[in-house]
Amino acid sequence: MATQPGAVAARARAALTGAIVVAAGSWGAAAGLLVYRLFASPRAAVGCAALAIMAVLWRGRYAGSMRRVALWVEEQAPALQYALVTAVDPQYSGTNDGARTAAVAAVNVGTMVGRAVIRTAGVPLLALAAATFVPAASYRRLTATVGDASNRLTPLTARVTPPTYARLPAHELSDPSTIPALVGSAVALQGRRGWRKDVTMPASPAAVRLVDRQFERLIVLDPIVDAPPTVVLTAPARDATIREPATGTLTLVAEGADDIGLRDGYFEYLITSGEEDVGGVHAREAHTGHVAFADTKTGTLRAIVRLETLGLKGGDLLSVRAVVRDGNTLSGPGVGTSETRTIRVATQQEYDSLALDAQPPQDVDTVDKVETGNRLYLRGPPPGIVVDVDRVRMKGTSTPDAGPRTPAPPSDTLRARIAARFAVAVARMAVDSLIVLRVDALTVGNAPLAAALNDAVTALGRGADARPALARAQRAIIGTPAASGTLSAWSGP
Amino acid sequence: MSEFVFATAKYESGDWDAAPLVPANLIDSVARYTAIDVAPRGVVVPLTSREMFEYPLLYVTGHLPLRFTDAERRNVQKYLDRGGMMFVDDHNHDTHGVFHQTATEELTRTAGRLVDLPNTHELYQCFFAFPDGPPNTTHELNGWGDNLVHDHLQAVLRGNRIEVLYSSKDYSSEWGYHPDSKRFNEVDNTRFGVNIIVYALTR
Repeated sequence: MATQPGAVAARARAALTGAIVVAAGSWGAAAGLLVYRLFASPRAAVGCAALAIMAVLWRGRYAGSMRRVALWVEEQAPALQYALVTAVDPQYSGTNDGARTAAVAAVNVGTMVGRAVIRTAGVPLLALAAATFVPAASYRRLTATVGDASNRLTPLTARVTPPTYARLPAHELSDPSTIPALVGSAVALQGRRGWRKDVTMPASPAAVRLVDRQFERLIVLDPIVDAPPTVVLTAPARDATIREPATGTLTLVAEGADDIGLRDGYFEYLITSGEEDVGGVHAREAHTGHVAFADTKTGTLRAIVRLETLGLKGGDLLSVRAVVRDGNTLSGPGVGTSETRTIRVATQQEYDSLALDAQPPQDVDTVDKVETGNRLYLRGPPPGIVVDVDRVRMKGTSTPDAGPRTPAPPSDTLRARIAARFAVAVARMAVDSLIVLRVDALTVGNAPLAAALNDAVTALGRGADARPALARAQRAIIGTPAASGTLSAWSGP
Repeated sequence: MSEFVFATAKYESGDWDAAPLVPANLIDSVARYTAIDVAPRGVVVPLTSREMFEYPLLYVTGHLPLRFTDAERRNVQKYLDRGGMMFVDDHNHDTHGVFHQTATEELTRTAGRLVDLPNTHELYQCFFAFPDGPPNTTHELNGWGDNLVHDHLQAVLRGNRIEVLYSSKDYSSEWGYHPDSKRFNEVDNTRFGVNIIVYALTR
């Protein structure tokens, strides 16, 4: 083997360069394999491999320089006394070669370089072997550990600010799967490391899909619709007939209620006069002044109407109802109306037989009989026509032209579709599918199904047994067998 | 199979019995043109009663305000949910009239939004063919009421099926005559009533 200093340095450079190349390839392959096994992303794996290769090559870039290699050898073997560095320096080549050759020959440079090559290439080769042969289950465990630690979507908080008109305080929900709130509420979702997402509660149920790298999460928005107010007319309690001239006072009382708050209310009345066959029926409408409720949940409307101010004449009908409005400035206002009471002014001609006053509610049957008598008196008995079906059967002169009859669609296809999707969701045990299904259940107003699905999602999230909740959901979909009140569909011709 | 009984709805507000001859006239037409078993006499059913669930079609008419009581509204909603059909006809033939204004409001509140029924709907083909949609009435053509010839009927639909059929054409006046007088008509104007009944019984 030649012991010329230049040849020794050249061999060392070749060996170290080869080791660097092998190390770069091994680290790159190991990193790419690891990333691919963890995240199943070829693009990420190739990127990581390229980065690792470039990093190693950059770090070992001086292995290609003869002077740097010679210096590295001198550093490892100080006994050389710079003989090798001087030998590879073109400025001093050819002078005093014998002494330098002897100095280099006295040191075992090959063994020194061999150890360095083993250190440089051996470790990455072992890492590559480990990445190749470690079982897949270990990767899954590692993925789970890494995932839980770095998923920024869990836990999260939802801050719900109801619309201003509701005058309700804002509140926070901790790591909810469902967010119930009034329609129009501002919902701020916040998680770790400062992320925030603002949404407005829509009018119908929906799901918010949050994505953080490979992580994904669905949150159900469960809108609470501001129900329209209700109002019950308590006075007058029944319809009545009064004599002409219509004088005195009519006391009107109504009780209103709303789930959020009442804004105002009033009484509306409609006066119809005249007859169909004598000049036609005319109507005029009016209402009492508005009474403000200051957003209370219940309120009482009271008004006194002086009948003589209405100019009622014989035969006129006075129809009265109460109207209340809530304070919904977002999609409203919601309006509620009571049932209508009718006050009739009797004509002079009926006085000999008619003397009716308002009846208490418990005398409904009596009032009904009297009203029927009233109708008979005013209109005469209804014509008692009995059609002689046998005589006229199929004697019509016109020819029917029946069009093709098509079978009617199933009465409840939506329920059938939900049942089919539910079967798929159970088969896959997919939490997200169940959450989306819950949105549909909320949309169609199937509260038992929505509650059961929520329990199932919660149980699956905790790793608990979800089967009881899924069984309840199944029952909620199938429902109680019931007879259909409609005729069966016709088949095609 | 039980026979078809024509039912007139009785409601608390207004004059529900404003067209007493219509039931007999339509019963006569069903017998004349179809093989449907039909009862020779119609019935009157209060909208608060459970009897109404025995009849697949309810006829509602009047001149005066139509406003359901809470009990009536609940019953009507249940009736429609169970597949019943209501035919509501404005006896005033006047879209500015009190019946129309209160009835459309009440029906929207009780059953849902009224929409124009397309004149190609199968209601106009299911027995007699009415290619131009609902037949016009003499009251419309003479300019009475709102002086309009209404091109469409209105309906509350469940899917494509009619749940509530609403007419501003005043068929209650058009069909309000004794069935024996039908022989004087060149064209029987109650044929569309047969379509309504056939539709209610088969869809």
